[in-house]
Amino acid sequence: MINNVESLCCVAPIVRLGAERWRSLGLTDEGGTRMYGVSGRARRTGAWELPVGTPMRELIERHAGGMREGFALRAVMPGGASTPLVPADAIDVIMDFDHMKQAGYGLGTGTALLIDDSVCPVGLCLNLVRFFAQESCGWCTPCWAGLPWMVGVLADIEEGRGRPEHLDLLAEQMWFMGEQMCFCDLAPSATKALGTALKLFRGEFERHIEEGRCSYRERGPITGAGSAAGGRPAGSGTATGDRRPGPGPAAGGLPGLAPDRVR
Amino acid sequence: MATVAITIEGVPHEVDDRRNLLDICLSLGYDVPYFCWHPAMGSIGACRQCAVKLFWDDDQQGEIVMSCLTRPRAGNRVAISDPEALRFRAAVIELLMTSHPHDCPVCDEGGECHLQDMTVMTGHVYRRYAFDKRTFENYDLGPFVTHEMNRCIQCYRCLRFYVDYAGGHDFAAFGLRNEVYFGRLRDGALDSEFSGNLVEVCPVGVFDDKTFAAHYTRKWDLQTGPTVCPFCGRGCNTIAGARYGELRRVLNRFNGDVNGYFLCDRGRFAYESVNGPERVRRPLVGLSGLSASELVRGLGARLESALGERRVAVGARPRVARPRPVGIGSPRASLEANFALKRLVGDDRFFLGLADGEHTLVERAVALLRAGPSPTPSLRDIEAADLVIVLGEDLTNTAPMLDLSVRRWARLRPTADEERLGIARWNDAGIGMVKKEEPSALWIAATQAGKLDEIAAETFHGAPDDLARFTLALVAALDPKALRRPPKGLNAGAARTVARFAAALRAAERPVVISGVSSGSLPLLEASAALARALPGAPPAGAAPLALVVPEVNTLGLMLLGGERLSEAFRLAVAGDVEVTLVIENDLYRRAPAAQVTAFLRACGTAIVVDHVTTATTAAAAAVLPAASWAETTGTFVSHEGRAQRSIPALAPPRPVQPTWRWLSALAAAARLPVGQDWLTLDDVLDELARERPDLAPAALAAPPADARFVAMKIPRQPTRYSGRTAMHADVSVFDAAPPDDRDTPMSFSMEGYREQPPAALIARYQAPRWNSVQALNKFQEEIGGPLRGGDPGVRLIEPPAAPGPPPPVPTAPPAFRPASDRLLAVPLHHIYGSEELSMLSPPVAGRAPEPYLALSPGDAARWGGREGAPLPVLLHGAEKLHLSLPLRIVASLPEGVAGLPVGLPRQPFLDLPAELEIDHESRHV
Repeated sequence: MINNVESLCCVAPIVRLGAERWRSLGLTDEGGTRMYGVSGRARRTGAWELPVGTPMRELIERHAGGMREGFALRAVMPGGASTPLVPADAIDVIMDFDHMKQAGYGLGTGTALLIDDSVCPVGLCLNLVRFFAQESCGWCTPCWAGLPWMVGVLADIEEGRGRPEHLDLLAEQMWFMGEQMCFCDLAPSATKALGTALKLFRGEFERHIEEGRCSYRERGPITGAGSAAGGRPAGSGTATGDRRPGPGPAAGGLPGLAPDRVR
Repeated sequence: MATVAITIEGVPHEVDDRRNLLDICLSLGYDVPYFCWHPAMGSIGACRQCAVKLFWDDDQQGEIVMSCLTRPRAGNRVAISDPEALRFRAAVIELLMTSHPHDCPVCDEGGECHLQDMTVMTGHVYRRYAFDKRTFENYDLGPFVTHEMNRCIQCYRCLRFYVDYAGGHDFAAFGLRNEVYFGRLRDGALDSEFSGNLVEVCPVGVFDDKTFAAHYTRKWDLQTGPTVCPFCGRGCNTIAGARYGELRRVLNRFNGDVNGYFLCDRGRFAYESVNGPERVRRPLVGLSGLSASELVRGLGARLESALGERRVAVGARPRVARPRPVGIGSPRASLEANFALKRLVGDDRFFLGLADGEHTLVERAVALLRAGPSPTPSLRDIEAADLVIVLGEDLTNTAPMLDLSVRRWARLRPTADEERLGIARWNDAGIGMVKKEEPSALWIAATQAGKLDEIAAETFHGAPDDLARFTLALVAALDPKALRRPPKGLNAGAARTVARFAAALRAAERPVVISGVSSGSLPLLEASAALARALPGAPPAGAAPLALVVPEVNTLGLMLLGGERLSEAFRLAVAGDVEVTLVIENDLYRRAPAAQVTAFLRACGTAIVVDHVTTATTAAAAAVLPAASWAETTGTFVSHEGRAQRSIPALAPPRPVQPTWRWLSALAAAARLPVGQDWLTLDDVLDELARERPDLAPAALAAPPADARFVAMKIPRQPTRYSGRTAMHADVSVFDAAPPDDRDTPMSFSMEGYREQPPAALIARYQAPRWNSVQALNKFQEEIGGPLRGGDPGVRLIEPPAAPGPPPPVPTAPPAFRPASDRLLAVPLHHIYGSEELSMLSPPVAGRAPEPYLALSPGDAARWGGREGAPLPVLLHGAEKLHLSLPLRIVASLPEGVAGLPVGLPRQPFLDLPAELEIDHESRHV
């Protein structure tokens, strides 16, 4: 049974063009086309049907028009919240299942989220892990008990209460949520982005802990894509009056991932 | 099955590849921590605690696997103590403890907590989690079980037991993530008859025993004994625990042939009669205040004169026709007590003390079981069945643990799909999934709906005679030549039902028939046996196993011993042929109409009653001698399966209380009778039983004899850490009293003695190094799931004859039930809480019992103008005419013309059922 819109989209062209012709549209062995998307601070966010195997660089620079002025790309979350981050210097990777897997990332949904230099990596990871902690069904221990602990640790780091041993604790929990260790894939997926973030942005995590604060928060609100001026506004202060831990909606939070308090 | 060669911790083992690695490791004696896996419920892989490192062939890296979910393959190397596995298991505990309240000092589970054991075993010591704990509010789950959800570690065992295995509907897992809430939707008593098993199934202190909490003691301070549950005929094995001379709680004692890992709530929570105000603690004789020895001397003299010259020739019928004593036995007294009484009064003056109708039924049941060829099934036999048919028994209420056994069987029985798909027996999710699709293999015919109906393929409801006709119709369908005259007149609907039942029975290869005496129908009993004979079974019997439910703990043993009918004793007394009457552990007002019992007690000369509780009978007796309760006396009880089991007390009876047979021996001595003078220990009574009744001789083998020693030591009832021994009686005496002597068993009432594992019949607690919870049972079994080392206890006294005799005549069908125009047929309804005498002396159980009522079908209710709950005056035409006014309960499943009356309830007259019943319109309009 096919119940995925993306898959259904392929049916009409396959019928119209025939299987061989449709397959030949792909740039790699996997063949065919796929819906790719870009969100984040690109010039043109959107979704495009492209040949399977389109390089990520082409997706971002040609189709999405590159980064908006004043923002620099630091990493890409290539296919949803459960995929490891692709560093900015590795975006030549070819976007099909096999190549992405070989490179250690994972194609996932194919909808890339661009992480720019205004986004706090710690807040990003907190938001992601909190989402998965909320979604845990409560079956196996690493997931239902481990994820809330990680949320607590990440929130501590993000809010300036981090301690040096927290990074080891996070690494330990990630080992503990390895794929064979858990009943299903949710907990291993939950920590994929965090795992790469800890490598790519370890300095940022350490700086949060050393300084006892999140420097991104003090840069103040960012007007975002709708702003005529684009770019960063002047001024400072906390983003909102929101007292919830973690990045507020204006501090680089991901759409749709409502932060909530996990006790 | 295949045996594969693997190594565990570097040691080569040959293991069964149908088992999982956790089961294998535990069976071989390795310690692997676990939570969600349960030996009786299989694996689900939720807790991740049982992780081990598994290496394949030459693999040097290995992988972490959950041992509970992993089958062994040839060449596997299992490393339990691999550093990564150790680290992983410590991490699991650390996580499970993040929200645990660490309230061990005030937790009833403390000292016997699986979480404590596992935490120590994995070495988790320091807490690093520094955030808020998730917290819950708790519900009142009724009088049996406490609820403290903050201690929960989300292992899902409670849910799986209560819903998947025990069929409960009022329990669920609510919520998600680290906030899964296990319990009811709102306050209220747990509805399942097996809720008490949550206490043992829960590895932490979420569910604990509320009755125990009322007089709580740590496990290490409990003096325990291997007892047999006295509250029905199933004979479940229990561990009774006592402190300060008071019975404090009852736990399961594993017996793979009887009750496995579980108990019913009546068995677990009904022990309070041992401590209660109804206890007889000293001799009662009018207001004279005689001491026990004075009383025994006096009664003995009375007995002596009553016996007259019989003393000269014991056992022979005296030629002189003068009044003589009679003895009335009891189905709740031990085999030894009944035998002692029988010896004392002589075979012809010993009366079983059963209601007459029950006497007839049980007598027939024993004859049917003895004739065979159908053997009676043990729990293991039931679990191996491919079809179970229940006839006329509401098992949930008449033999609750058979209900649970049938439910467990229904979930775990092997099916073709599971074989084909290779689903392991321990794969609980897989088994559950397949069973959802499988048609049920349980078939039921009963007078009215029961709780088991919901898992049955089909149920047939009819009056008792129609159930017999229905059963005989099944016999005829299986073997057209079996009956000379198959029952006719089953209506079209019933004929189609017969055809469906018969088709299922015909396809069965290992069917089991469960019937019994609870419906009060002799034709049904006979028809059930005929059906078992007509069904296939394992050689040598070649017939299906037949389980016959009997009501009380020693009903079967009493009948095997044999004796006269109670009504015959009444007749003798009224004829002036009785001078002294000895009644043991029996309230005659529960066995016969009150007028008859009262007339008997008036005419029976001196009535001496030996009992541990006061009853209407003790109230009418000339003298009452205080018997030891079931928790204080050693005795052998024969279950409905014909299994003789020794119950060994947790408590020494407080003087002058003593076991019934000792009172009888003392009376015999005072009467200068040459009976029982060499009965110094229970074994002497059993020796005499073996001499007199070779067929019952194996009863002596139910447990090691009293003089058995283990490295010259007795087995202690108290754990090594038992505290306060020299102080606990300081309010009575500051002197350090010697522990009471136990002459009847190789167990002592002390902490000193043999500390290794005792023989299976003498296991008084489950504890092993590093294992303090009930899970220590693993260490007492030959392999996980049993049997206990040396074999599960108990000796079967009834086995099918080696050479089956001629088949008994096939019964003829009774006429079809036709409701009379002005009368109903009243049938007995049984209640797990209510119908049993002793359990109703426990307030928690009594609180769950119904008030007396009259059950009618909706049609009859409309016909007689009754409204639900409104009192209806009735006239019962039993052995005596009884006028009753009972609130109406409309029971949709009752057949037209059949009324149901709950039996055995306290403050209700003896009901001789089945009997005709009239709605008493005369008195209604008055």
